[in-house]
Amino acid sequence: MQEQDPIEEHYRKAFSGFEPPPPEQAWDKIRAKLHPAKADKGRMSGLKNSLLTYSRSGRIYPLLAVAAMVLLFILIWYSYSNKHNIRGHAYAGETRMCMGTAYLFKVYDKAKPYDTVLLVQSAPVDDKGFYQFHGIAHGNYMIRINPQPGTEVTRNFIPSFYDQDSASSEANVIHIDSEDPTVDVHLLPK
Amino acid sequence: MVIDEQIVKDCIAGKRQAQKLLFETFAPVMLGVCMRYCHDRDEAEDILQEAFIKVFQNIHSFRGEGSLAGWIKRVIVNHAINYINKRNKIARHEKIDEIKETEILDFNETVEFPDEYNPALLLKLIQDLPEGYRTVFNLHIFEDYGHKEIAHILGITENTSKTQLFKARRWLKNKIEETRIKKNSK
Repeated sequence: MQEQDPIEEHYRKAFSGFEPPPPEQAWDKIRAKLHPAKADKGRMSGLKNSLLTYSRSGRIYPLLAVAAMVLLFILIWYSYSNKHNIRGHAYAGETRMCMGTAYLFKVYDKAKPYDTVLLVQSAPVDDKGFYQFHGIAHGNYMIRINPQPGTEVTRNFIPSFYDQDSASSEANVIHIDSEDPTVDVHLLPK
Repeated sequence: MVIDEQIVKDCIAGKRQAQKLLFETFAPVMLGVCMRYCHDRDEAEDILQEAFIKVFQNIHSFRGEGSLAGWIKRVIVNHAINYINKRNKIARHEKIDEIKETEILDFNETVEFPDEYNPALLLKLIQDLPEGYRTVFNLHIFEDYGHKEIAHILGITENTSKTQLFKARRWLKNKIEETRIKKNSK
């Protein structure tokens, strides 16, 4: 038999909506236990934690990522810093040639340049005879100018390499090292 | 503030904002629960903090079959009992008194309360109860546990549970009478 105690009933009613003021700092203590690394970190300890814990958990290692980025930057910088531009004019006799195409060949054996060339770039020759190649790496090159077919120039001049009238074939080779050279090409007359 | 399913999911995912929201929503009520099981507020706050850590660590086991508040309250009460057990303050060694049914019925009389529904005063009376009486009283009155369940939870016999509840009632009745008499004599 369950007795009906007025004290019990009174207590139930009294405490049905009983909400004392919430405890101060309690959440901070709970958070510190649930998320210890985040709750305790200062600026330096946070950095230290991230460097150590990320590597342990197999995630990306920030220091390694930074090193990789620096390395990539150096490679890109090195790559661009070792590239050169070649520019110049094409001449038909004493006057600058009007319109045509400039070809840049990589020379693999300077002793036999004509036998070891590979076309790497071509560029238009404008109406003032100007041409330009961009982003050329160190090495040996030859430049050939072809006048535009059907023009006055083609009747009197032939397509020609740089310094082709020189007695030595090696003289045709342009060595690209540390500076951006200016190379003027004179077409050979027919 | 309504704690919806998404907040529970966020708590399971360990999101701090959701955990904070859940804590701030239930902390006042649950602190009231803890305070009924302790002598003072400091101890209640310790229990509350430890219990809420358990809540967040085990919230994935909440299936949504009952109310979230009810589930949290069970965790809080269980932790409070474990906390008290660890301190060995429950009077398990207390001699089992055989209580006659008539004695219980005799106790069933009208009691005039000195201060109508004053939770602070009633809480003070509960906190002043001897530890064993208080735990059984809380479990029986507020958590609606039967003596069999209380006996199982506290590792005591059903008779001990009944005895301690009876003594708690008598103790409270006497205290309330004393307070009423003091008030009337002023």
